[in-house]
Amino acid sequence: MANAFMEKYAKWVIRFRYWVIVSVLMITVVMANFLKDLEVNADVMSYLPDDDPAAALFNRIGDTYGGNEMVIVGLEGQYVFDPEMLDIIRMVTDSIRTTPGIGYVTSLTNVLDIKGSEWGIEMGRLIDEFDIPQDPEVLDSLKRYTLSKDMYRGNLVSEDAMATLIMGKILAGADRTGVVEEIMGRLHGFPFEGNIHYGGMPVTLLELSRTIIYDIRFIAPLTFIIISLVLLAGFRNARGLILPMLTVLIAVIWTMGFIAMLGYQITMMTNIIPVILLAVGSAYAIHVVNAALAEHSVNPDGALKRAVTYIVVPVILASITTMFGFLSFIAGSYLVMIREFGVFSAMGIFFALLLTISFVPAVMAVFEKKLKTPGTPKSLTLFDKIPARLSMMVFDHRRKLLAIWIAIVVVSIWGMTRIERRVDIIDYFKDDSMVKKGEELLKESFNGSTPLYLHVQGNVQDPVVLLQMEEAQNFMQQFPYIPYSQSVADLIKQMNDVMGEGEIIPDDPYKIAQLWFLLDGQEIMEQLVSPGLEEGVIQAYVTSKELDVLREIETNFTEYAQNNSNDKHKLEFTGIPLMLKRLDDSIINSQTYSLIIAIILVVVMTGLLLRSAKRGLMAIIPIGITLVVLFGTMGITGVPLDIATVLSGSVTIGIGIDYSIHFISRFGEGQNEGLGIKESLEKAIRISGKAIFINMIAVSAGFAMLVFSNLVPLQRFGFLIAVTMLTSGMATLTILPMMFAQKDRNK
Amino acid sequence: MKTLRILITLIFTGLMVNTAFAEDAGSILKKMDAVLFAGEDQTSSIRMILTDRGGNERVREAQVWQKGANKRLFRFTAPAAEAGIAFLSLPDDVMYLYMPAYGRERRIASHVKNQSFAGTDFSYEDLESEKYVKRFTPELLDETDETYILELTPLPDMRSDYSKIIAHIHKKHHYPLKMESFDRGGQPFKVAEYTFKKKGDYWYTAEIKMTNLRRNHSTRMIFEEVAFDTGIDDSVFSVRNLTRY
Repeated sequence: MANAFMEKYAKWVIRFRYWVIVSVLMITVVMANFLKDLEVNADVMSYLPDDDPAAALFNRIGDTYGGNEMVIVGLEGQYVFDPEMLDIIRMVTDSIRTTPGIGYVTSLTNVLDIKGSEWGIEMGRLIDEFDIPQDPEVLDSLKRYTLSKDMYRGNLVSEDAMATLIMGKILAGADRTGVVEEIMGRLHGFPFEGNIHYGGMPVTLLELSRTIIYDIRFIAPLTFIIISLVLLAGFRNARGLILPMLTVLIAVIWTMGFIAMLGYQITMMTNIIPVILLAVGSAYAIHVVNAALAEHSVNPDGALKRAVTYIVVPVILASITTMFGFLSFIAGSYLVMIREFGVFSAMGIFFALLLTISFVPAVMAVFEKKLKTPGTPKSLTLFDKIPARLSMMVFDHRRKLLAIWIAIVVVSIWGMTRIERRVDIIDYFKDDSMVKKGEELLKESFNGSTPLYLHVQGNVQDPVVLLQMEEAQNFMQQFPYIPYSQSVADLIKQMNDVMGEGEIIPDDPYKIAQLWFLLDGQEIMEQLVSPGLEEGVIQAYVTSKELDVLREIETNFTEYAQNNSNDKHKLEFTGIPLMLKRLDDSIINSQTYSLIIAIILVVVMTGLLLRSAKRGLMAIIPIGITLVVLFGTMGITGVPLDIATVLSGSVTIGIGIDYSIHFISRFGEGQNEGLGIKESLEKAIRISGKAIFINMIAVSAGFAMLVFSNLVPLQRFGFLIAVTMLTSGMATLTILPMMFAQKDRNK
Repeated sequence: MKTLRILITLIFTGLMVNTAFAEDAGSILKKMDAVLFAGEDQTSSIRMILTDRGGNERVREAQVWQKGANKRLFRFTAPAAEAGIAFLSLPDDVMYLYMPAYGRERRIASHVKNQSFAGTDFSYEDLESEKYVKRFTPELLDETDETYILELTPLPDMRSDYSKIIAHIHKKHHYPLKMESFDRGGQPFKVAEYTFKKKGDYWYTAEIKMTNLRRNHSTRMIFEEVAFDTGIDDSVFSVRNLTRY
């Protein structure tokens, strides 16, 4: 019955071929029109889930206190307390300060320094920018003074005085990446003999968005070319190349257009959707073209109709399993961008499927008359020979083959025990990237770059609240990975000292109010208290992102915040370490969930559609082995589980299962035609084996192009999928025949 | 011939009229200083309304005594927690601060001129009680029917936070209508808009609205109960008086 339906469908597509082609082209024009609205959003923070209170608080703090708008320029390699160097610092400070979009700058040459002295308060600059000290003795005492103060040492100048930081606050609403580019332009070629480094969220954003654009502009076309070459080599004719590539190109346009139409932006994950569609989607059309050519060589009459009748079901099956592979990320992932990636990839696959079963046969129908009957078959290519030889090994060298697979699986299982996890966003950048180098400097010579915030809700002028802040800071700084923290309590203590009453929080609210008066309007206040003074924040930086540190922070700090909240003040911790911890949890969850979901769905789907539970289970054996090899490879090569590689398991299942489906259904077709096991196998290898082999090479080569990405997780992801596609193709071409042959022997 | 003579006369009279009316930048600025620092002394109460980016307002009130160009006492009267806090500015950049909660005065060093004064959009430099002619080199940029437009460039040793100030000065009464300050990169930074009123012989500042263009924050300083030449005694500007609250 299903067959009758498919036959009807095949007839319909062939009959209405022009309608189908015209509709597809019209939709493509409309979707292409949306492409120009496509925007890149590199802001990782905007992909934190809204339903996580810590993430929501983190983003709110970033907005309210401007933490995400700080651009950090590091000058490294020259002794700081030298008149010439101080003058350089002053000039850099000035050129950042006068960059449009910058609100204010903090550096050694303009930081406010409040000192109490015997004659009064000296509220001045740490270093007078108009009168930079020249006398070595003065410079030496300046060095000693600066390094003696927590607020300078490790924040503005490194312990060894060989590096200094200049921090610019970008105004709310300004184009953050544009401001960073302007600053870099101004400092480019600056007469400074050391190194200039950049850090801070806006810099990360700039590098990420450059990378995303690079990946789209460079890697997608490269993938296109590589896959085209593989197809050309495989089919040795233009039809085998043009139609599949045209189809995926249209699918890419539809998908990216659809993303724009729905108002979504391109992220560091969705930017690889074109690569994925090129690699995965081309396969569907290849199978249709391949099937048509095969039918044609048997009997040209009604070849296309027969081919379509047969191929639609396996293609639908193959793409549905792939879609499930991508959709399985929705459940376990922490970052919104991973969910978007899953949904839009699945959507792209759906479009590719739709086009494959309508557009491809329609175009072929138009040209059907021109399909030449291949006279004497062309000389067999490697793409015919290799899969044939591989599968025939099943009959000739069964034991050897089995031994090889067992060895591979054993080694892989050993490798699986060595898998690491990596969640730090900084690790996503290459070692020679601007972000990585800047991070190195901040971590090695300064207080670190990973912000941790304690949010304090309560009247920040109340001595009780200020004392609580002080106590919380003491608590935080007892951990070796938190060298420094800052709050308004520090400023109040400092001012109280200046007024001659010691570095303590005064218990008289009247005094606090008057000290506050002096701090009012100072730039630093915006970073520490809200304008209405009903809340404030303690800023700290963490120097380690080891998983056990993240765990300790999450448990200890959350507990501290709970224990110390009362009706006067409510404490709440947030910050990158907490986000990273959650990301790490979600990576494990994602991995488990998505694998389980993918496996169950794939077994059910294949079983249902191959109409045999046994076949469904058989279909997943090659993929099961592939998964073992995947995780083994990760352990052996040191590729960690990260936000992108965590996806490779489900993607492998989704794509890799296709090979099994095509092979098994072709084998089943032979059996239905009454062929023996060996003959059925031969047929499956001749038709599907070739398509699988070409596809395996094309998909692997396509994904391998991701190693040219500038984002490390995407490089790793590309490498892993290339490995798993090769594995799963090979496993399909050898293990499945082995099992079918076994069946033969058992008979 | 007759027409030519008329023409020549017209041209010359025109020129003469022009030279007669045109003032050089230096004297315009001097006259502005004369208006700003009118009278022997001046007292007033000031209401400062601070408006932040979100439109939230805060109000501070103070009493001001000024004598000559460079003696000034600023005493806050509201809100209650800040009442009594006082600043005393004396010649040669000498400044004292008094905080009643601590009951003692502290001298404040002077190199913080671009720091905000009491959370307002006025920096210490903006409130400097020194004549403009002593701080800037003026240049007449343009004039309209009612205003002179001067470009004020800080004198080399002024350590100014500004690269220039464009001052719009009322032609007839010589008080400033608007001052636009530019940062050291030449970007617009702050705008001060003035409202002047006349009391007796003197024009006085009734309101200054200072907007910080970068912070999108503004402060209105409203001057009330302005009195001139009341004969303020020098002892008002003493540290002893500062602490007497």
